[in-house]
Amino acid sequence: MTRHFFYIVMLTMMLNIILNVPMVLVQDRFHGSIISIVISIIIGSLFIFLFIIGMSRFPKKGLPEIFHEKFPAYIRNPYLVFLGIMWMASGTFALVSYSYVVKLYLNPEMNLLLILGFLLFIIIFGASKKTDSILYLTEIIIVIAAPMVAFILFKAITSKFFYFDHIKRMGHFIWQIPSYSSISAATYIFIGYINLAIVNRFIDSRKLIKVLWTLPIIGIFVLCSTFFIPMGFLGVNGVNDVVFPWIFITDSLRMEFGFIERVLYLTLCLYLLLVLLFGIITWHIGLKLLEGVFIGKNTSAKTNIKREKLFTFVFLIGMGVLTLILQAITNQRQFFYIVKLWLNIRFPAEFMLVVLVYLISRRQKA
Amino acid sequence: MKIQNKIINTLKQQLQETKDLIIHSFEYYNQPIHLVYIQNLCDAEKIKTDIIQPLMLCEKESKFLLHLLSLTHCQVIQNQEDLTNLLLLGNVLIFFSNEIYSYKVISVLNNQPEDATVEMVVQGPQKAFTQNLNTNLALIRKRYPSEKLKVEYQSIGTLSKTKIAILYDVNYADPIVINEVKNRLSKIDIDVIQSAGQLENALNKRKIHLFPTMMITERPDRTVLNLAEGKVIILINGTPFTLILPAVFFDFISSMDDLFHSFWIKMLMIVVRYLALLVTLILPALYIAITSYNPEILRSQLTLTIAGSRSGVPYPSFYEVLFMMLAVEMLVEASIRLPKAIGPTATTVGGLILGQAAQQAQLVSSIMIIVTAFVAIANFTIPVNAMSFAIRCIRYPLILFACFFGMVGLVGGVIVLLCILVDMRSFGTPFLSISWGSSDKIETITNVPKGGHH
Amino acid sequence: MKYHLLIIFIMVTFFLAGCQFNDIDKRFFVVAIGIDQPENAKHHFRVMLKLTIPSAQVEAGKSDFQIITQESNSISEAIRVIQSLVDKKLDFGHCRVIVLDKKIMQSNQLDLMKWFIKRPDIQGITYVAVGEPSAKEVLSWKVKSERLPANALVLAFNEVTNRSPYVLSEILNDYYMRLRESGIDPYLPIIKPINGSFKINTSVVLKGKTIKAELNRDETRLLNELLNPEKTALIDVGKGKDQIFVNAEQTKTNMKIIIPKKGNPYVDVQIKIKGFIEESQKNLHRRSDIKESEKKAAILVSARVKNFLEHLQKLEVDPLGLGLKYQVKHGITKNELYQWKNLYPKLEFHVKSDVKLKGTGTMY
Repeated sequence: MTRHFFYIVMLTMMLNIILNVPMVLVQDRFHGSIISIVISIIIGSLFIFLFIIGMSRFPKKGLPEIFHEKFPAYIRNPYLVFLGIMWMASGTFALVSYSYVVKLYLNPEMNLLLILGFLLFIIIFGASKKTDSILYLTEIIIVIAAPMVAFILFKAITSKFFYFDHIKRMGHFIWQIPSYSSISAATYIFIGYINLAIVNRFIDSRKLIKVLWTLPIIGIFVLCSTFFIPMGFLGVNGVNDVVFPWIFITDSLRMEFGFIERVLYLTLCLYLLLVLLFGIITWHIGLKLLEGVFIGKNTSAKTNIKREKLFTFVFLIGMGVLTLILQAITNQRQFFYIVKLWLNIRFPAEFMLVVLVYLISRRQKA
Repeated sequence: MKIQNKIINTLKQQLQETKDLIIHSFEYYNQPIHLVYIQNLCDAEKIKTDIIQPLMLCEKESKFLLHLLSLTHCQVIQNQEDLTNLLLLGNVLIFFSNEIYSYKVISVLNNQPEDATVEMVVQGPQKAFTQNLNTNLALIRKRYPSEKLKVEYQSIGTLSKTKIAILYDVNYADPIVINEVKNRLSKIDIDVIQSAGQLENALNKRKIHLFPTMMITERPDRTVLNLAEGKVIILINGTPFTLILPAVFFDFISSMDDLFHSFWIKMLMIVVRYLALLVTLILPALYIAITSYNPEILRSQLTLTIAGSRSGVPYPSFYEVLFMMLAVEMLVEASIRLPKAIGPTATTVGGLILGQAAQQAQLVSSIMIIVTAFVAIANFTIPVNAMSFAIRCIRYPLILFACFFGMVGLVGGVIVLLCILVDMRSFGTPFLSISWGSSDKIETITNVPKGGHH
Repeated sequence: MKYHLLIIFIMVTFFLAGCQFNDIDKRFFVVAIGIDQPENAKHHFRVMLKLTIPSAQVEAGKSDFQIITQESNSISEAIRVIQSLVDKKLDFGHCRVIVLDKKIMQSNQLDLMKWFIKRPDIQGITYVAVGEPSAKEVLSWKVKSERLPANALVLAFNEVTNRSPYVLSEILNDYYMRLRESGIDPYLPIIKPINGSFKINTSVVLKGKTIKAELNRDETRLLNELLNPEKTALIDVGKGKDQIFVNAEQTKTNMKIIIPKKGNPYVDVQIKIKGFIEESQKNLHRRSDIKESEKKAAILVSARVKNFLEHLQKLEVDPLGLGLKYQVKHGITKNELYQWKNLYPKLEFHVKSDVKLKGTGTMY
C-alpha cells in the first residue's frame, strides 16, 4: 500500500499544475516567485520528512487515534474539526475553480451552480466509500492519468510556439525578496502528504522514508512546469492576461495524428478526472478527521454503523450546500481572493500540524 | 413383523400414496422381506444384481446379511425418521430380519461431459462439466490429484435439497474466505435452487447488485486452475456450472485462452478486450456528449460529416441512441431464446433490414449505425457472460449522465462507476484494485506460480 | 427507501434536461471569420461569418457554405445581429481560419484580437491570415478540390499536409503573444484567391501592433525557413552550367546578440543546413565536387540571409525575436526596451552558414 501514498502526493502535484497555485505565482512573477519556488521546495520537503517520521512512530494509526491518546477532548476535538474543515476546503476550492473552467470551455450555457452541483454529487458519492476503496480508485486513475499529463507536458515543451527566450527573460527577476503568499502557494503543491493523517491506518509509513528523496525532484519539475511553461507560450506579460494560463496554452497544441485534434479537450477531461478524484480524497479525509471526534463514544455496533452512515451523508451534503452557497455569493475575482487568503492561512496551520506530530512522536519514543 | 408393516404404511401415507412407490414383498429364509423404493429414481438393474441375485445364491441368512453390509452404499438404519428422505434420495429400503437397511441404487442421469458451449476457447480443453455432482467431482479429482483437496458436502434449499460440494485446497485457500462462505451458506433461506447463478444471488450480501462477485464457469480447466490459486469452488448438483469465489474484476475479462497462447498474442488479446470494454461502455454516451454538447472536440471533417448525416433526423440524439441500443438488446435477447433453427433469421431481419432501413428512413444517422454495430461487437468480446451482461446494463446510466451534462457527465459517470467497482468486495477481496504482478494476487489467469506444495 | 431516492433522483434530473442540450444538426458551424473595412464610415468593422451547410455526402468541389455579413462597431455586437439572421445556433468551435483585411490592420490589432482570445470556443490553433484584395473575397472563394468549406485553407496552412517553404502559417495564440509582448513582432501570411485555388506565398510583417510592410515571395520563404526549421527549403546555387539545387531538409538557425566592448554590436547568426542535391547540370562524381558545392551553397545562404535580415532591420520589424534575446541578456525594464529601440537599427549581421550535403539523390 506504500505506493498509494505517492499516488496521492503525485495527484496534488499534477492538479496544481493548472489550478490556483500558478494563479498566485504568476501574479507575483516579478516579485520573487522564482526564489519562493526554491524556498518552497526546501520547506515542502522538510515538512514531508518530519511528518512522515512523526507518523511512522505510530504504525497503523490515524491522526484521530493518536490525538485520542495524547490530548484531552477539549483540545483535540476543535483541532480535529479545524483540520478536517481546512482539508475539505482544499478540495472545495479546486472544485469551484474547476467549475469555472467547465463553464468556460465545456458547458458554456449551463448554470454554474448546476455544474458545481453535479461535481459535488459525484464527490459526495465517492467520499462516502471506504478509505481503502478510495486508495484503489486513486491508483487506477493515476495510472491512467499520469502518462497523459506527462504527454501534455512533453507536447508543450516540444511545441513550436514554446519560446524558451521568454523564460530566460525571467532570469532578471530571480533575486527578489519573495512574498509570503507566493511561498505559501508554492508549498501547496506538496500538500498531498497530509493525507497520511488518515491513510497511515493502511500504510506502513516506515517504508516511505527510503523513497522520500524522489518527491523534491518531482516537486522541482512540477513547480517549474506550472510556472514557466505558460510563460514560454504567452510571454512574461501576456501570461497575466488569462485566467487559467495552463488551460489556455494547451489550446496552442495540436495532436496532428490524434483521435482528438485539440490537446485542450484532452487536458480538460483529464483534469476533470483529477479534480474529482482530489475532491473525493480531500472530502473523505476531512470526513474521517471529523469522525475522529466521536472516537470512544461507541454504542452498540449495529446502530453505530447506521448512525455513522447517516452522519456521513448529512455532513457531506451539508458541506456540499455550503460549497454551493460559496459559489453563489462570490464572483470569480472574489473567489480567487478567498483562495489566496486561504492559502496564506493554510501555511502556518500546516506548519503547526507538522511540528505537533513530530514533537509528540519524539515523546512517544522516549 | 407388525412393526415393519406399520412403518411401511406410514411411509405410504407420508408419500401421499404415490403410485411410483414400489413395495416388493416376498418370503425367504422363512421370513418376510420387503423392498421399498421409488420406481423412476432407482436403477432396477442394480437392485436385481446387487440384492435379488445374491439373495438367491446365499443359503444362509447371515451370509446374505454379510453381503448386504459389504456393499459400499449400504447401511443399517437406526433413526427411522429419515426414511422418507432416504427414499427420495434414491435409496432402496430393505426390511429384513427386524432391521431396516438402505442401499443407494439411484440411477445416474446426465453424467457424460459434453462440449463447452458457453465459454469457448480455441486451443484448450473442450469438454465442460456434466450435470452430475459426482461426475464433476471425479473430473476435478482427475485434473487435480492433490491430497490437500478438501471436499465438504451440504444441501441447500428447503424443498429441493440440492446437494452442493465445497472444494478447496487446504494449503492455499484463505480460511477467512472459507468461514465466510460457510457462514453465508448457512444463512440461505430459499426453497428451490437449481443453478449456480441462483446460488450466487443468494450468497450475495446485497439484494440488488449488478456486477458479479463470483465467477460462474462450466470449464473444468478454469475451475482447477482457480483451485490451485487458493479459491473456493462450489459444485452444485444438477447444473454443469460451478461457482468460484472470490473473484475480482480482472477475472471476468480473462479467458482461458490467455494461458494457451504465446506472450504477444496474449497481450494483443488482452489489449483488444480492454479496448472493447471501453468502447462498449462509453461509446454510446460519448456519441451523445459529442453530438449534443461538445461537437468541437472532434476534427472538423468528422463533425461536419456527423452533422450532415444527422441533418434529416427529427429526434434528439439520445432517442437515436436509445432506439438503436434497444434494437440491439432485443436482437440479442431474441437470438438467445429462439430455437437454433430460427436464430439466423432473427439476426438477418434485425441486423440487415432494421439497420439499413432505419438509416434510409432517416430515423438514425449513418454514424449511429456504425456506433451501434461497434458497441454490440465490442460487448461480445468480454469472455465471461455475467460481466458482459453487467456491462450492457451499466451503459444506460452513462447515457443518462451524458444526456444531462455532456462530456462532464460522461467523465463523472465513469468516476461513479469506478467508485462502485472499487468499493465492492468479493468475500473480503477488493473487487477492483491493481496489484502489480505479485504472487499473492487472486486472479484467474496468471502464470505466476504459487510455488509447489509445502 | 433506496428505490424512492433513486426515483426522485431520476425525476429531478428530467427537469434538468434541455438546459444546454443542443444537437449537432441544430448548430451552424462557423468555419471562418473575416473582418473587413466597413463601407459605412460610422462603423468600425465589417464582420463576415462563413457558415457550413453540412450534407451527408462529402464530395470534392461540393462544399456548400453561406456567408453572412454584418457591419458594426464591435465584433460581439455583429455576432449578436448575425445570430438573429440565421435559424440555428452559431457554433464557433470549428472556426479554423480568421481572415483580416489589410486596412483593418492599420489600427491597433491587440484590441481586436482580444475578442478572439477571450472567447473560449474559438480555438487557439485557429490560423490567422490577411486576405487580399479583401477578406470577403477570400472567404467566398470556391476551391475546386475542397470537400468541406474552408478546409482547403486549413490544409494549406497545416505543416504536415503542406510543407512548402512559401506558406507561412500563424496561429491565434502565437499571434496574440507576438502582439502583446515587446521584443518580438507579429507576421501574417497573405491569401490571394486565384483561379480555382489560393495563392499563399507572400506575407506582411507588423511593427508593434500595426502593419508595417509586405514581404515578397522570396522574403517570405526566408522568413519561413528561419522561423520553422522543419520546413524543407530549396536553395539554388550558381548560374548556368554550374547551377545546382539543394533540397534543405533541416535548417538550424542560432542567433546571438553580441555587444563587444570595442566595436559595433552585432548579431551572430549560425545556420546549419543538411540536405540533398536535387538537380544539377554537372555530374558530381567526386567528393571534392560535393565539398565545392557545399561551400558555394554556404556562401549563398549567408549572403541571402544577411540581405534579408538587413531588410527587416530597415523596416524596423523584428519577427524573429531578436529583441527577446536582447532582453534575456539585459533585462526587460522600460529603459532597456528604449535602448534596444536605438540599438536595433545599428546592429550588424554576421552570418555564418554551414551546408552539409548528404547525397546527390539517385544520380551523381
